Amino acid sequence: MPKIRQLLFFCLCMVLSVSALGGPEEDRIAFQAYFQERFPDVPFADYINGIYALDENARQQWMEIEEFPPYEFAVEEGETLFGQPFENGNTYGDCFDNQGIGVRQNYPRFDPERGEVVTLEMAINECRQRNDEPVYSYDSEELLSLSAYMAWTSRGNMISIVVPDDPRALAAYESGKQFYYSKRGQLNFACSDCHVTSAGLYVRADHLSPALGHPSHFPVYRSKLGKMISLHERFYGCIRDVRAKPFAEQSIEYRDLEYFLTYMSNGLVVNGPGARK
Amino acid sequence: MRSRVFPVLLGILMLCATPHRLSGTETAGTAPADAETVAKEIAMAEASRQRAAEAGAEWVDTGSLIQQAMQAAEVEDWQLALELALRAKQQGELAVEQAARESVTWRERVVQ
Repeated sequence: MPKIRQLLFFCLCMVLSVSALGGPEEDRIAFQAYFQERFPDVPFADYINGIYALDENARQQWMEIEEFPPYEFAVEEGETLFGQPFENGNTYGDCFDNQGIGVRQNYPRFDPERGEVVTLEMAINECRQRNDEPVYSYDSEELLSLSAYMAWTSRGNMISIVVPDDPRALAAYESGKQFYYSKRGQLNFACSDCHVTSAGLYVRADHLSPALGHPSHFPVYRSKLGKMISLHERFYGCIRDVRAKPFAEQSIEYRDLEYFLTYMSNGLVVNGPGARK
Repeated sequence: MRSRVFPVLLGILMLCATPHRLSGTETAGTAPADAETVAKEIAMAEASRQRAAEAGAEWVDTGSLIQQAMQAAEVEDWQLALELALRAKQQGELAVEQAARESVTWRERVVQ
């Protein structure tokens, strides 16, 4: 009888320790529940609007901007580029599922052949490479326009990031998770310090946006820069702002970070491209 | 008598406590600024920066401080070069410490 008790106790400990470590799905449920508990008046679907889900004044200004969306030019340019065949006659559509229309919600994805995370911007450039076209710089207008157009065609599609049953995929997810929660830089801040713990609070004159829904609206037109930026350029800016040396766009660090962060937003819909201050 | 002696003693003590700052030739608690010391400190700062970079934890201006230290050394401003090198070295060391600490403590921040 005592042995059965010991066995039951052992099983209970195992269950508790596994839930404490947390797999991706347990993490996502806890992550989303945290924000819903913290901001009970904000509907779940509204998190795709970032800080505008929390700050009514800023939301009114943003809605006025959205009447003449500053990203519209990028979408139009992206559509033109997307439709132009390469020298060999192939098109971007040939490189993607569903001819590249409405696929943003599946990126970043884990590529089992290479054992690493592939972002949409990376997939666009690799498509060019496979068709003997020169790659675009990751902050180029062309690449961001293509990404903006592909996001546009995916509006309303539910973010559906998959962490397959592959230890390399789980390692990439864990690496992104560790990055997100680790303090770095001279200011000793983690991403989560601002966008989880302090979400909704002021940083100088602005409110800090909630992490939930962050990747849904990229690429975005940033008014203060007067141009489109990718999610990785935003990562770059945040890391620099806490006075750490930023990683390059599309580095393994940022791809894993995007993988984790986008998985946390599974269940929300794509509403990119977006407009931000 | 007592009221006159106390300020004089205090003044002497303050002067004793700040000779390095007044002389302008040394940084408190460090070796004098000369070519050899500067070269050594710049090399140590660079090694420290590299350790931080390997840990993925380099701070934003450590490399720039080392560059500035090298430029100051080129024009033989040993005092400035030494100060910059020491700051860079300290940044590298703190970044490595931060990375080591965070490799364990990040889990405490995960939303449960």
